[in-house]
Amino acid sequence: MFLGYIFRKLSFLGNQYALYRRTTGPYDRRSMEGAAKKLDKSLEKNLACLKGMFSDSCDLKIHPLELGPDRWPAAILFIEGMADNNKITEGVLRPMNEWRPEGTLAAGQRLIEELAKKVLCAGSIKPLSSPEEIVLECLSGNTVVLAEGCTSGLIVGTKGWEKRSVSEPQAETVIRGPREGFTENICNNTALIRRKIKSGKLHAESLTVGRRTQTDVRLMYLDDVASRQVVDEVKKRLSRLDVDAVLESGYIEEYIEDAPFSPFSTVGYSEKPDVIAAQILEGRVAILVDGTPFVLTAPMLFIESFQTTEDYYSRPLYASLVRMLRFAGYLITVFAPALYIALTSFHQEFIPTNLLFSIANAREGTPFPVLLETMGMVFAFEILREAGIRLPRPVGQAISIVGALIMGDAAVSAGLVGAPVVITVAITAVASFLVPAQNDAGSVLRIIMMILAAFTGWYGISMGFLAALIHLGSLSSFGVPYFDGLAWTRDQEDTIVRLPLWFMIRRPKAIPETNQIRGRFFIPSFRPHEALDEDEEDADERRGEGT
Amino acid sequence: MRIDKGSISGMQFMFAMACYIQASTLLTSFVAAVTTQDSWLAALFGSLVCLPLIWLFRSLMVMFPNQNLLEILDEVYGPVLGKILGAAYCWFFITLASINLTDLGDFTKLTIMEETPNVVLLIMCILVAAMAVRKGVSLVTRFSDFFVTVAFSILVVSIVLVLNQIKPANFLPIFDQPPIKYIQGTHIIATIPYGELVVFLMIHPNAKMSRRDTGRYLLWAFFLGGFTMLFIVLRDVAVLGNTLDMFTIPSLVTLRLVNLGMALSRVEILFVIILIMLLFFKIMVLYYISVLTVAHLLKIKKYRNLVLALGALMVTYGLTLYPCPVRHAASAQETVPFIWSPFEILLPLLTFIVAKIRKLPVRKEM
Amino acid sequence: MITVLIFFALILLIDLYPIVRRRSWRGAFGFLLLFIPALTLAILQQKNIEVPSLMLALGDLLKSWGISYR
Repeated sequence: MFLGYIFRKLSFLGNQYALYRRTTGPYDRRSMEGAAKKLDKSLEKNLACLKGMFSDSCDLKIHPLELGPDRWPAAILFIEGMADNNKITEGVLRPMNEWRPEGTLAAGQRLIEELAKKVLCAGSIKPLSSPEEIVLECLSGNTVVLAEGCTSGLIVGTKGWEKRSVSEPQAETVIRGPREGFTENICNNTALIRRKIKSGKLHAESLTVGRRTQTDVRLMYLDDVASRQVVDEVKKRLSRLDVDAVLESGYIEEYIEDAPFSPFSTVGYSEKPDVIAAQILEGRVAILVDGTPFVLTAPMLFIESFQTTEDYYSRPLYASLVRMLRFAGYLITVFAPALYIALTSFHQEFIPTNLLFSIANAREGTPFPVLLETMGMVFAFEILREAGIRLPRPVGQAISIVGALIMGDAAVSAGLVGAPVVITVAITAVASFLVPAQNDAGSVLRIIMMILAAFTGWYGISMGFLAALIHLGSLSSFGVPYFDGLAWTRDQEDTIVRLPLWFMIRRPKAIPETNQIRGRFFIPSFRPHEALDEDEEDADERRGEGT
Repeated sequence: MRIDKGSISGMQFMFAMACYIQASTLLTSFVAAVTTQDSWLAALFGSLVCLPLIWLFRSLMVMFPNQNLLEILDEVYGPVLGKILGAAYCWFFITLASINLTDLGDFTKLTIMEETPNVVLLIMCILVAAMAVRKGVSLVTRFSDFFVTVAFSILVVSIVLVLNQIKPANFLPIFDQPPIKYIQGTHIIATIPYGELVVFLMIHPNAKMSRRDTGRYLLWAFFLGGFTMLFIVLRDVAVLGNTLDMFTIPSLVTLRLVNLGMALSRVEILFVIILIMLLFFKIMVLYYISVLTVAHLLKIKKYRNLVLALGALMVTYGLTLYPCPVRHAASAQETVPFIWSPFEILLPLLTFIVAKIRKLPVRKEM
Repeated sequence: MITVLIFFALILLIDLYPIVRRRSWRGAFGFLLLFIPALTLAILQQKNIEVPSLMLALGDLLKSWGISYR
């Protein structure tokens, strides 16, 4: 009976969902209320209509003009702040005021053509007759020229607004490597990438997403390297997107990613043109969104989070060491608190005796069970981190000093928590910054592992580890297995270690299907300038061996 | 009818089999109790005896490259008898999975988690395995190469660590036992790790490998797994000698003896963790194959919905099988080789012979 | 007892529900074939009723036929 009730409830919900899916069809973004299909002949009517479509906004500037000796009425429309005032004055207003047409004005459509050809000075001029399109153009910063008796208006390219110049990215800093970062301007960002890859095969494609925000989105990929399947999949998902607003690339990421409920993100992002260029060169698709410096890349592999650009800019031996350190750091940040809990509450026999004594000493008199203690510390750390990020930098530092040093020390000396817990959580916290891209997944996993360890000790941790592995193995990003590259059988040149660049003659096999070869395989001689130091004979001999 | 459309590479298939054999190394304790210091001989004989068995499996795989075990049985014995044998195999797979599941529980209880109830351990394991089984064969076999690598490296490390404890005298006396003991030991080795490879006849159609590669991959898997087992037994014998039969899990005791100064002691935790992972892998494979078999017998296209129910059955059924680990060991030493033999050796052999006589599979004209 | 029942109810919800929605009666039959024995065994174990072990019984049978080591 009870089950029957649940079944009925569920099937009801299922039907509701299906109904919802059926009724909400794709939104027609062209239909705006109260708009005429075409422009009228009368300027008055046109202006009223357009004003209505802009809902009488005060930043819509309408500038009436009178053309030539006949005082033929005309008007220009633009949005304050979106259009470049200079361009409007130089390219539109001045030529139109100074225009002295020979003879009488040509009426109607001819007038518009003449204006476009002879008068206006701007990079792009095009006639449009549909009010909706005119509104869209105007909203993106262009100026509209209307004239009495003409059923179409001229769109003059006068886009220009205040923007941030290219500067060093805040989220990803480097010691060695280019210091430029993307800005909020999509044209700028496209150019930044193009400056890195000067190839005609670099394909850029424009889309508009968001019913109200009408955000510009661009796809960039190498035509002869990126896999067609992946590109089509990205396009399909973007075109299916039907949302109200896209304010940041995070919105798009959430709608196109493969596993929204997984702690692991399956779409990559970066703020640096060299990172994105490297991703594109490996056959990925970059998704640029207007208004944000963060560019998305798809498909993403798990291993990507452990690779930084500096690995490739510094020498391979050290880079490999750092790479391994990063893996170790990630393991520590996920497993260290769990291991501490498991060791102290289940497997004391595995702790060396001296250490056991000191841990027992430290834990003596602490009031809470170890899970609660560790959880509390991890929680406190997350609070500190969040507080430090949102505040201005000097205050943030003060927070971390007060929080970490004073509060931690006071908590230990007051006997609220044991010193080993503080040490464990501190290591965990510091290690979590080694792999920033997987930080959020790490936090979630850490808590799961801690709970498992608190109830079933080492067995729980092993099972948690296996579950995480299986989950990672089951993920895929745009049709590419997410865990590829770490699956122990292929593409080993750039995973746990970073082999020298001349070893990586293939692009990662998982992503592109065609054109996998990056360059010719050559091994630089280990002492290239040896010949200069030694006798001619020896050098000849060595050269003979080399070939 | 192919229920799981996923496909794996030949390498993956090989590593899965190797990992499967490695996972059985825990069970060498059954042999150790029978033949003590000559266990390595039993392991060696068992491996040698199994070479023809491997060849038999290979022939079946090559003869029926696109049919799994149940379809082979159907084709060779006709639908009625084939179904009956299929049902028997179904019972065999489920029992095998349950036994391994309880093994994992007992082992964990014995080594690291003395006080946790067995059911909790089993349910956790089954839930994690179910995650993989629901996704199909490619995920089930995906991490086998990782497990094999880790197991192998831990084996090498452990051998290096116990080098100072090895006494050659521990191998003596050789051939001291009555011959029936050697036969028994060989039989146990042949049926428990190697014969169980019959489960891979259920998934070989999913592996993309050519006719020639099949034999090669099988042999490689056999060598990888066999050497691991042989070296583990050799190591245990060399360290523990004829006290081998005193311990429930000799490998654990061997590693507990590791003591290099104060720096490295209690390394058996490594062994415990890798063994938990290997056993988990074995359970996952058996679980997957049981689900596949049930779905295949009842002709259910969507096997995913059976996964959790079968998992529940495996846990409850596994808990009834053996009241305690001692009875388990006794039964494994005395009767289990005989119960398993028909499924692992006799039936495949019979199938092969009947297929040869009936000139199956009939080649369809292209 | 309650925990066991909740577990099994969850399995029913997760797996039987899609089967029934698909109207795949063969699937439901297979599911119940696995589910009912599991539930029975679980309840029997919960009530501490000894369930005879199949493996030991088979072993004893073989032993009585003389097929066994020892």
